[in-house]
Amino acid sequence: MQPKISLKRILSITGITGVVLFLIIILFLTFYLQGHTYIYYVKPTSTSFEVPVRLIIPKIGVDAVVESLGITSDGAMDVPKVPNNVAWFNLGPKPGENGSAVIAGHYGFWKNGEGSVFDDLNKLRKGDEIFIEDEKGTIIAFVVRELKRYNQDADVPEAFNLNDGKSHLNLITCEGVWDKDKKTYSDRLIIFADRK
Amino acid sequence: MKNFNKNLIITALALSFVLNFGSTAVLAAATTPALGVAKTFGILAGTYTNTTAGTTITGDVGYTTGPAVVPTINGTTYVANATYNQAGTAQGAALTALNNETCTVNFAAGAIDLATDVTHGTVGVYTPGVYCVTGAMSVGTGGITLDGAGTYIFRSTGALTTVTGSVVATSNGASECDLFWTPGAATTLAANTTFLGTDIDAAGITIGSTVGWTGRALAYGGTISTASDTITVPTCAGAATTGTINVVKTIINDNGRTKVIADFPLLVNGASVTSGETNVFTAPATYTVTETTDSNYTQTFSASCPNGIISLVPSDTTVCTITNDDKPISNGTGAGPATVVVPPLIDVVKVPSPLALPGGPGLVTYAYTLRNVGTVPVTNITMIGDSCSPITLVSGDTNGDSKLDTTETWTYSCATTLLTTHTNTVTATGWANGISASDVASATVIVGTSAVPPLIHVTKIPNPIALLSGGGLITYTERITNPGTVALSNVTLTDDKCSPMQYISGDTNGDSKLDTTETWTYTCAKNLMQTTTNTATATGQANGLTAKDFAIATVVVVAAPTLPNTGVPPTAQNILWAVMITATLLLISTSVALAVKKHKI
Repeated sequence: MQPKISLKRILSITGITGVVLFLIIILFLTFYLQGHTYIYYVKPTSTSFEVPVRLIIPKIGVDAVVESLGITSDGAMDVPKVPNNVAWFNLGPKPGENGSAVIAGHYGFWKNGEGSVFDDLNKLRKGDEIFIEDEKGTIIAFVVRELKRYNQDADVPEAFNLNDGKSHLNLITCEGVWDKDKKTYSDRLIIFADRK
Repeated sequence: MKNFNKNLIITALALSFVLNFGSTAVLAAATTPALGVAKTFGILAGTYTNTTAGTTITGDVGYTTGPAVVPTINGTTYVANATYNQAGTAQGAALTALNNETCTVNFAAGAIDLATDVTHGTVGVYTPGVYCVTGAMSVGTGGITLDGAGTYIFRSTGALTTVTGSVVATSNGASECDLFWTPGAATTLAANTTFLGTDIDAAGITIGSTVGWTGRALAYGGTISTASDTITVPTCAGAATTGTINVVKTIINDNGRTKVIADFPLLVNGASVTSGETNVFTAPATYTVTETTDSNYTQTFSASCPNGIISLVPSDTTVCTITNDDKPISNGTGAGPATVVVPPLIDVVKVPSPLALPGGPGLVTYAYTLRNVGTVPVTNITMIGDSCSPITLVSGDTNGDSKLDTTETWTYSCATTLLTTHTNTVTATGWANGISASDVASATVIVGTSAVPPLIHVTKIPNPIALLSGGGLITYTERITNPGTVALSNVTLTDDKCSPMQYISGDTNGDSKLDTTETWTYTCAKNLMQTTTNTATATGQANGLTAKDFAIATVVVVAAPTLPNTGVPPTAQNILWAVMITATLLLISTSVALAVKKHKI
């Protein structure tokens, strides 16, 4: 004798599943919409640029405060102090100036459960847009040219040294496998972008 | 056996012939050795003693311990520096060469009075040769005369002495330039001796009162004493056998470290040298410049001494720059420099007056002009001259702050007596923002002929002088001028780290000569990725002489950092995911359980 599944039971399960799905969708939309910032961009005519204060990457929902940092004691580019901020390397050019401006952000989950600003940096693709706002409110746009992955110890002067008379913005974060001894990830991801 | 003996005899005869023949050949070839760096020294001693006034040395003087009463020295005094040590090495080399000359006359064993000996030939007269004494040798009352051109070597196993008033004279082309004394024990010249030649005697040389000596007293490591004597280094012909090396240290403390020039002891072939000091070395020869390195500084040599190696050619003036750039300090704070450090840039010109001393030795006054061609005030200025001191600041520090400001021109002066044609070099060094800057100027004064020597000056200005991380394009503008009185031909300008050097303008009359009124401008562009010190060398010729000048400039480039450590340990991430997944599973299972329970009801 086949077990009977009543209509009521089916409705109950469907209802509960629907509620769960609904909650998931709501949660997803909440995060998705939070991550997306819509900006009004007009190509600036100014040729002088100030210290960057805000980084916006619509594709991956980044809208971050920019810290101005130099190098660490061991000669590495310094990193932001909080998960959601990014760091501009202040011994290099400012975004918009000729040369390679460099911005770094964290990857991974912090102890308080908060994710990092560049967790989704690897989702960027050629043609995606990146915006930088300086302290005077000028917004400059960059377009992703390529993604490159390097070993953690790699010396990548070209990320800092491109002198082709054009303006570039390079974003750096971690990737790969956590190295317990070195307390760092095995790889680095660099997004190379050119001024729009 | 008989055959064997026969062969032995033939072999012995053959060997004897060869040896005799060889010996004869060597006898005829007695030559005057090169004295190298020691050539210009009248006194070269470990300890030089002079307790009375009235001694005049016309020539260079070198010692480690100096005299209580400083004699009149028409020359340069070298106190235990590299040139002094090089002269000692040259003295040793000359002695070895002299000792290798085979005896032409072997006196009978025992003391020999060269003035009365009858065994060698005419009494009191000597022809060129190598005279060997087993015992002491002396010049007695009658004195001796050296007769005919050629090399004379008087070698003894014992002492060399002279008696009061004895005379060593020359005739028929004999020259004090070709006369050498190599006693095996101490030399003692009695009062009023008239002496000639070069005495090489590390056992010590005691020169009695009022001795007139045309030659050299070389006792490196030993003691020389004088008393109201006149010692004159002869002007001897011969190709140049020396060159100069000036090792210039540049320090870049753009990462907060604090080492100074003295923290990096400099060595040439293991012998200590002072930064900025021009030292004389025997040439041609290869030298190795080293230093006591510091692991917190990176070391770079200029192109004139790649990896510290210098191939010195006779008469050349070499400037070897070693740049030490500091590495970031590991202070645990993670804080690096916040700004780009601007290096200093200075320029020195030296003009001698007069440029030529046709009448022979005389007084020369050098006028030095020091300018700040950079953008920041320069402190701790030092001027190191190789053969003139003291170099006195005459004027220029208008605000009296002891800083060479960009608006100031400091003038210095120094006077010295020159005996022979000489190239004098000065190295100016100053500091700003923890970085040192140097410039070198040299000038030749001709003694003995009326020819006017050339003078040349080069100034190099990089633009910009400092770069942010990543570097960028630097344009060096180099200007050559002629501070002398004769037009220069065959003008060249090279830079050890930038090429091509492009001529822009300056030859206003188009005669391809750098006239005294002209300024020739060149530019050179280079993409610099790292802090760089480069040296420009300008040369020009006139009256058969070549003038040379150097310009050294440092451009600071903030080094590209290594990649940032942007990762957060995954443990925290895993825990979070574990909590989330558990919570979700719990939620779903509770929902299902509730649904099932409700259904049963």
